[in-house]
Amino acid sequence: MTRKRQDPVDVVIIGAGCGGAAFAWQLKRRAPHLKIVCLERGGWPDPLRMPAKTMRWQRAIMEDWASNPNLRIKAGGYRGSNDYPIDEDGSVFKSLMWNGVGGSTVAWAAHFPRLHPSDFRVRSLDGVADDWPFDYFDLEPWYDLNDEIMGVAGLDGDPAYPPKRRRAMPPLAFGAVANRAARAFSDLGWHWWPVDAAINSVRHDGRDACNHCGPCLTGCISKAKSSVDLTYWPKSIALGVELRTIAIARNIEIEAGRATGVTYADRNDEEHFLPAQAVVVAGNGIGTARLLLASGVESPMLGRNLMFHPAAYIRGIFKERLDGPVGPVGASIYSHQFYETDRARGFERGVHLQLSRENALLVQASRLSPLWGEAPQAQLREEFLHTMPILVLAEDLPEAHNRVSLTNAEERDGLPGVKIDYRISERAQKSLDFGLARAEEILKAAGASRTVRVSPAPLTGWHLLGTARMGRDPQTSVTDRYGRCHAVPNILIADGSLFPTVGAANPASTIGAVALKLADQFAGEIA
Amino acid sequence: MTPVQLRQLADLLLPGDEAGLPPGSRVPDVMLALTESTAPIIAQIGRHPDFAYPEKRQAVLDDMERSHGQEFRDLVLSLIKPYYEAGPVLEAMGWRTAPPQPTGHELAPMAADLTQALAEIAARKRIWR
Ligand SMILES: Cc1cc2nc3c(=O)[nH]c(=O)nc-3n(C[C@H](O)[C@H](O)[C@H](O)COP(=O)(O)OP(=O)(O)OC[C@H]3O[C@@H](n4cnc5c(N)ncnc54)[C@H](O)[C@@H]3O)c2cc1C
Ligand code: SF4
Repeated sequence: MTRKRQDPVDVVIIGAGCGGAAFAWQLKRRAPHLKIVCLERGGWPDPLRMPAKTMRWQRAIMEDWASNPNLRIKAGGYRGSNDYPIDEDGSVFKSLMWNGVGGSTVAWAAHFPRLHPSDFRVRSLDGVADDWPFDYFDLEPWYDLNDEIMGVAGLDGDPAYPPKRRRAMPPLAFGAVANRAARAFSDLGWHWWPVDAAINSVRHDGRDACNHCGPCLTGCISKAKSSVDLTYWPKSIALGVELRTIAIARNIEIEAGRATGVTYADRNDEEHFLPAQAVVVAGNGIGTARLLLASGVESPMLGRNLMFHPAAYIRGIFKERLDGPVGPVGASIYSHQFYETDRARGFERGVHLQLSRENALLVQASRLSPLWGEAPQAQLREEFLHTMPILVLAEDLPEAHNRVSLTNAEERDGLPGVKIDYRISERAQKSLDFGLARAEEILKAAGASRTVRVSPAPLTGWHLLGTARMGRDPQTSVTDRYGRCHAVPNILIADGSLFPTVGAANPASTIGAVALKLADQFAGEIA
Repeated sequence: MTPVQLRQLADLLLPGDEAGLPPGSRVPDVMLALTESTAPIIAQIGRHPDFAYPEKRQAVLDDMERSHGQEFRDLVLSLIKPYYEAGPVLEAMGWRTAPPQPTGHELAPMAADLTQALAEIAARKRIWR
């Protein structure tokens, strides 16, 4: 295939998701003279295609708006999320993502916790894995800036964190489920707090308040849920960053240890070579490793140490009617009572407990066993509108055998096929079991007549982290503390792949903050 | 399969209940999905000699589920979808028929008694390291 050579630019960013968007904005702000182009394999999210206004809103999450790209491809897919298949037979957890402008924040639940200060120092404090090359307080100004751009609803005064800047909006509504759960936490004397959510609880930044419609994971029609296509991208484009959509980066060209630019395919499958001084990769914990491996970047840890946050659910069934599938799915209250290490529990590190909301009726019906006949219908009668789910997230630690690798296939997007292998460690399983037992206590205290566990919960691979970790040693890390690849220093990484460890809390707030910090440092270098 | 057999199949898979959940054959989109389905397993069920006997039909489906696991599951799922999207089914389950948007839903604010609980939590010593 002949490649069209394009005019050179200063910086190419690959991926317009959470990390790429924040990086682009901060770099352009700091270095306005730079010509920056972002290549994004998917298109813009289209509210007109989001299913929440249609009667097929329930099935959409199982088909063309599923969070798992393999399911979307099976359902026919569309270029809003320009997906690639992932061989995940070797992984307990199935990877969830969105491949279009906004990245996985288009599909996310917008629960927006920070990591704890201890999460950056797990080696020093607990003797496991590695410390980050910087700490919470180095990152704090960038957390604050990211909060400002994303817009956070929440409540000041949470003793689980160092004091944070005033939240821009009050907390989201609780509903019957969170009110009941909060009382149970308090009865047990355990910490709980309204979550920080990147969701408008009141009109904010020109976008409406959440109207509690429910299916956040299939896109937010009302734009109350922040996603980086709504927050960072309009600002970056106004500053002059060029965003090219349906542009699949196929190869980073490397000569004599330096990247010279990127070969990408446009919407007509025509190839272009875009020369650049530096290449920033933000394709997420799977997409980044896939592209770098395909481009021949040699680094022993590249693709290794994949971390998800092993997840399990426990649902309490109540006699009283509760809310049902209403309200932002992941954003009500949480508890970090058991987040920090307590060796008496028999494992290092801790768990994040998050109150979730009920699944849509059809989703519940399709997960019953047996699936047909009188029994499942009777069960649904008992459970629908009567459940309270609690999500337990455990901390993964880096393990080299959990990994992203290439297959021998060439996929339709012109890149090699990609495969993930992942198994839950004994330590992580212990933490999940511990978390489930605590969550069960809460449900019982809240009045549940019985509980049902889903452990592990396979369709929870939301957090794709650690496959190009930061560190000092090229043998044990892929990039330095500035996100520069040890092997090819003018390739930077700016997404969740960078995490040396992951804490037990959702990562997007940290991904955005780290990307801002790295962009700021890089602006100083390249200017 | 004959139309009568299709109705029998729909009702075995989704029998409904006395409290108002309709049987599968009463939900037009379920019958449409069955009629338009090209899944070979439907004809196989229809051809099964025991499917003619009401008391043996359940066992026929149990057998099919055992011998054709994925195909059978796909068939059931293809009917569950239109069933639980149907207005009368949603209503019978206590849910509204209108989609989530544009109206959204009411959601109760944080209960007043929790303000005190939060103040007590905030007054505790920090729990981060
Ligand atoms: C259903 C769901 C719910 C979630 N809920 C939460 C939550 O509540 N809280 C939270 O903190 N996190 C949540 N997450 C996770 C969060 O969204 C991700 O961790 C975060 O978006 C990852 O950021 P990233 O920059 O690493 O990658 P992404 O945001 O995934 O962006 C990667 C981008 O790179 C593009 N790309 C990849 N390869 C190429 C290529 N070769 N060429 C061009 N473009 C490419 C992709 O199309 C994509 O747009 C959720 C995720 C999902 C899927
Ligand atoms: S519940 Fe709120 S945030 Fe979620 S999709 Fe609906 S309006 Fe958007």
